[in-house]
Amino acid sequence: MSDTSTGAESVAATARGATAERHRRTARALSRGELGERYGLVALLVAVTLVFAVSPETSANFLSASNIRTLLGNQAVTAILALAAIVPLVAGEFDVSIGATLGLSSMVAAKLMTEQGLPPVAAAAAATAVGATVGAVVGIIVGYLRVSSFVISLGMATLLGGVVTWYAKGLTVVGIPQPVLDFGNRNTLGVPRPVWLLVLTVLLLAYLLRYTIFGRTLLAIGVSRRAAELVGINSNIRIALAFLVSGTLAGAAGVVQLARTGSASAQVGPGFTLAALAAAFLGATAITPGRFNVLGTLVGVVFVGVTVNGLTLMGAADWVEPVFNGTAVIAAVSLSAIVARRKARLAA
Amino acid sequence: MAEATGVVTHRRDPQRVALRVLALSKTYPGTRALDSVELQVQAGTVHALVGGNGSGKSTLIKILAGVVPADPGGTIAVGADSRPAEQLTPAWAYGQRMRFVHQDLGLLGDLTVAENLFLGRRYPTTAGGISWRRVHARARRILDQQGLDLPTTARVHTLRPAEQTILAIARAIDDVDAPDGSRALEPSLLVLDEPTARLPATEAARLIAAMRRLAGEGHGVVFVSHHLDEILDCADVLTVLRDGRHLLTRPTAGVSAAELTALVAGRPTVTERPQPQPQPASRPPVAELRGLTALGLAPMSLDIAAGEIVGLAGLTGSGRTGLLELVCGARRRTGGSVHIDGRAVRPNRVRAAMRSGIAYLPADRASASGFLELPLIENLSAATLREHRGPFGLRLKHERAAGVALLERLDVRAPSSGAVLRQLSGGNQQKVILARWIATRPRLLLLDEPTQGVDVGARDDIHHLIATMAGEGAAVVIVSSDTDELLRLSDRILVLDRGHVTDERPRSAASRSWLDEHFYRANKPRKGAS
Repeated sequence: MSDTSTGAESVAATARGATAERHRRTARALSRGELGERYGLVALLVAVTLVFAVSPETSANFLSASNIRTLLGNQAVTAILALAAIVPLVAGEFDVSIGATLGLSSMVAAKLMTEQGLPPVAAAAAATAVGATVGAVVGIIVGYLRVSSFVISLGMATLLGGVVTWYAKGLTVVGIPQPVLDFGNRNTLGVPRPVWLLVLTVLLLAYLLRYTIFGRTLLAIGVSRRAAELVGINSNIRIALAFLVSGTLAGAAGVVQLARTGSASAQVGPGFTLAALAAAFLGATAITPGRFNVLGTLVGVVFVGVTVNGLTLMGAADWVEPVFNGTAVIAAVSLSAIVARRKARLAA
Repeated sequence: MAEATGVVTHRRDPQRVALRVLALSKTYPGTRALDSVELQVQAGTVHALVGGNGSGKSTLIKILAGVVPADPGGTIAVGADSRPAEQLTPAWAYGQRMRFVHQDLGLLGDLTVAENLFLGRRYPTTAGGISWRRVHARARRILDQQGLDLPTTARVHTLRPAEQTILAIARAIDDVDAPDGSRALEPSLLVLDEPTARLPATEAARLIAAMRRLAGEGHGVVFVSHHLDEILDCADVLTVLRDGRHLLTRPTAGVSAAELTALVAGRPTVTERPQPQPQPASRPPVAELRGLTALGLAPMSLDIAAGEIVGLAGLTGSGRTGLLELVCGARRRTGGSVHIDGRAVRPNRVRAAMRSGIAYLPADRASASGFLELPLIENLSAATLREHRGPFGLRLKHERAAGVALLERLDVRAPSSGAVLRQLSGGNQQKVILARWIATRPRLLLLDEPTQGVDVGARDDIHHLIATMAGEGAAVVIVSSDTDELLRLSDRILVLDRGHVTDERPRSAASRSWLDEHFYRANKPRKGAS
């Protein structure tokens, strides 16, 4: 800073050097507590897997290739939807309309393919576009009017539920073209095709959140919208875009769901919302605790999927899944609050 | 006013002591906030408590409210009862009819006057349900007592500022819980912490009248204000605190404003600016503000030369923060222009202002500038993220290297560069945010309370940085409540009062007493400077 160097300054310079040394060493050395936080969910997943693998009721089927394929294929839809959810969540906003958007999209795709006879790719694109539109509408309202995203997306979810029921006329749409069913149920390189789509989504989203200005601005808005605006971020449009992304992904997930099950009905969508949110919240407790993150979300999805699958193999009835999802959301959110509070205390 | 209602039956006893404080001390780690302070407040008088920042006023009030424990050894007596100061609790203070009205009045604007009066208290009921008839009747009586001509169903946000303050006072002194309201008429000790700070002069006059009336009804009123004129207008007695010590207590009669200013300030002037600056007059203007207007701000024109540091003095609410927000695009501009290096800055867009070379450091670190939960590196790059863009997205290594360089340059003390901002001390947090703006190589640096809540060492570092930035040719505007800071850094100081520039002096002619006079007397509307 100055040309003249006095004794005091050289002492300061030495101290500065030591600080710099500390800065250079990255925070690789994690304390035991941090390790537990980061990989606790992973460890839990491993433990649950082991239990199901050795327990007599499930060991026969649980680790079989076909069960694993079914599990992964089924979870791909939930996983894409959970990834859709974390985009607005990163910016501090809820999108509880993703399940309904998925339902609408799968119904639109089914009808376009069967009744209108559109080629599958065109129908899929149109259905995804419908999802994007829904996301944009919610996003513009939430971003520009600065109203509660939870309320707006809840309203949108209810509205869409009605629209789908009307559109479906109470029927289940079947007769989906074979190529679509093939996409949903065949494997490529031994892996169900929907999982490949999930892999693509994961890569895209991880890139979006980590390596793009858009992703980083969402993160900043999520921490403090006012501070984000004062470093020149237009938070209104960024939030609108976050919902556009979540709507688009939810729309794509709807098409995958249709391909997987071969039918669309008004009952498909709603159940997915909480499953996706459960995975997202569980994910925020892992890998980079306190932050919604792509890898953690995947771990969350697999954890929920494996547990429910194992319990089902043990003979548990349908009610297990909602009970487990609900418990997971409550536990994940409570746990992260406790961890955050402890961290704040340590920092103070 | 109150007499007209015919319900005033207070005990009037001019000799009664409402509050007595003996040998009150409070030590914080490293500082003695209060040192054997004595204070005696007579019932039926308005007693002003005066002192600069750090004089111990706030600590004294917090101890009285039972929020902060005092050091052992002191005594506090309210009415007939007395207690060791360290044993004071909020419940005891309340039981002794000690009442506090803070600058934040604690009113809920969307609720009605009656609902606010009953906030947190028991509503009168009939058959298990709230008796709204009795609620409104009771509210009516309280409003009449205070001479407030308002419907009890009015939403509080529709009230004038002085009315809101009087409502808060009425709620404080009124025991709504008492079934017949009889205790409401017992006098209390009322502590008003800067009640006029946010009021325009005419509103302040109304509040002062209300305070005089309350004293006339037998309440003891302790009044904290920075407006020395008001104090001389309204208080019977004044006590000056300085550096945690009781300086003097005397009747206000016969005290002049100049005398009082000297008493409050009474400190030698400060050390020089850390780095000598070339004469600003020899440099071309970097920033030109022309007839800049916004809501609550009179037209403002100001030229700032390269390397010049302009200090903005004024109380909270004088428009000083608003002016900075206006220039940086965060507040709606209604007229005028801003030019940086001769180029016009597009209004109402923070990003446009940033592109023109404007950097704004807000006062509120926790909510307006710091991303407390984000890592230091992401805090540092927040305003310059675009510079780290590569063909395949953000270059994280590049971003990190730039961040680490800034941490080193500003000597930020952090557990590691992977730490989140919250883990740092206030001073280091502020350095990180300042570094964020230094990275934008600003032409005009707008700083709002740059060293608020920052320790002495970091304060010096930050002053150095500011001087260095100016030395490198940036124009700087500093808003500060810290008189020392303004005198130490500024080449020129402007005084802002309720949206108007009321005075301006070059550093050579600025003095602590001149500034203090403005700080403490700035309560009369004046004509704009432009």
